[in-house]
Amino acid sequence: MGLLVEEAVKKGMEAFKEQSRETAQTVIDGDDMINNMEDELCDQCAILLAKEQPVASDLRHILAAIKIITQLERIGDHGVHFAKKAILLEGETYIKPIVDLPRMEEIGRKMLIDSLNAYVERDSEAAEEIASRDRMIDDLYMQVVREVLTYIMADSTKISQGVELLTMARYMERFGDHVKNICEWVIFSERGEHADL
Amino acid sequence: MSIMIEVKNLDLHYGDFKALHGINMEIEENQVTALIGPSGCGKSTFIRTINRMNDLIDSVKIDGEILYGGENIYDQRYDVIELRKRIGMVFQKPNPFPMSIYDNIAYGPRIHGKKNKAELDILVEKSLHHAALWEEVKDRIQSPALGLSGGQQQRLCLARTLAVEPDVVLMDEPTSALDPVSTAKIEDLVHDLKKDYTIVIVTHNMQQAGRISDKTAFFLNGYIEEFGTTDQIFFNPVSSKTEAYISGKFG
Repeated sequence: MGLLVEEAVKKGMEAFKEQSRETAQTVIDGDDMINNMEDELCDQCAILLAKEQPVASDLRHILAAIKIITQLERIGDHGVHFAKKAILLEGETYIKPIVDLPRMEEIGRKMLIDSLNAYVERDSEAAEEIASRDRMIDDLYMQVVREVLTYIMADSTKISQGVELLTMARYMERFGDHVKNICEWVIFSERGEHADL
Repeated sequence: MSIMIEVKNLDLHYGDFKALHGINMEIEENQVTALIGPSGCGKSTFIRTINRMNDLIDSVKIDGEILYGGENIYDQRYDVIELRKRIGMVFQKPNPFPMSIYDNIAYGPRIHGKKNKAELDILVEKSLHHAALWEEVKDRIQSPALGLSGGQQQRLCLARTLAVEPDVVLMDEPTSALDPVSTAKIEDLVHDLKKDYTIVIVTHNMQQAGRISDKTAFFLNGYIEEFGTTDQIFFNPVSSKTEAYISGKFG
């Protein structure tokens, strides 16, 4: 599921950057598989709880899995959001170079992969470090907001696309937050305490 | 929460074999304390020290103190009969006396001097109600207790313990010989009874300990490896040995 979600955000951003309707449609079509996988994994966790009746760290690991798959599904939805924006803005010339949004996506995607590895390795220290990288995404978010505002204040014909770019930046910022939530569940799984990263 | 029983530095030897090492534990009033651990870890030996059942074994030597009502129950002047009235016990296998249901319950109160028939009638009914058995036996109260099912016999034994109006009820694996329905009834009872009694229960069933107890002590090789709230022990144990045991990785 992690790989599918990673692919969704990567392709979603690719579609947005290149304004590729074909790539965007692939991401939109693939979302059903991610949603089904969320249901399947949730059922598998429920069966494990019922049949094995785990306790202590085993129990926490499964509880964390249930919470993490919800975060993954939401990240997958963001991939779809990127793709839909690509279709919406198809054929338009972007009012600014699309540089920071892909950077945000890249940082977030690396965080995603690392956070899932931290879950598997039960490495709470790594989770703390990964979550701290969200600051970079937040900084880029503020930078994009400032920049887009400058463009649309200077030229009111750019407001419509400017709003879409701001929404994209907001999706990216939320993407980082979801990964941070995954990190918090990794810490819960290992230490049995709720962290506020 | 006030302390009902305080165990201090308790050691127990069977001859040369040391079965309990420096046990310290505070058992709180109106709480259910579960004792868990692998076979031979000392949990049954320990629960039997609380009402001096080990006195019946010649080779047993006990050091340390168990304070109940501020007095050490191992003090030579301590009245053991009175102790066992205040701290009752239910065993692994139901052991009703070969007499009627009524006489099983009335046995204890009679020994302690209660002879009035009307008073005994009330006490028998109350005890059977407390043990959730009254509805099932009220029409055959003079029938032999040995005619009851295993689950009913165990609840009868519980009613017999409750008839002498103890403060504390000790239970040594009370459901290990029972089917799931009878087990569920005993577990429900434990939950209800803690309003009026302090309960200490030995169980091999981890889920049972998790379901019914407030505090859990994990015994290992005669030591208390970990003692804490049941929530903490089952969700976030400190000791890796506790974690391994409750997760079914050894024992």
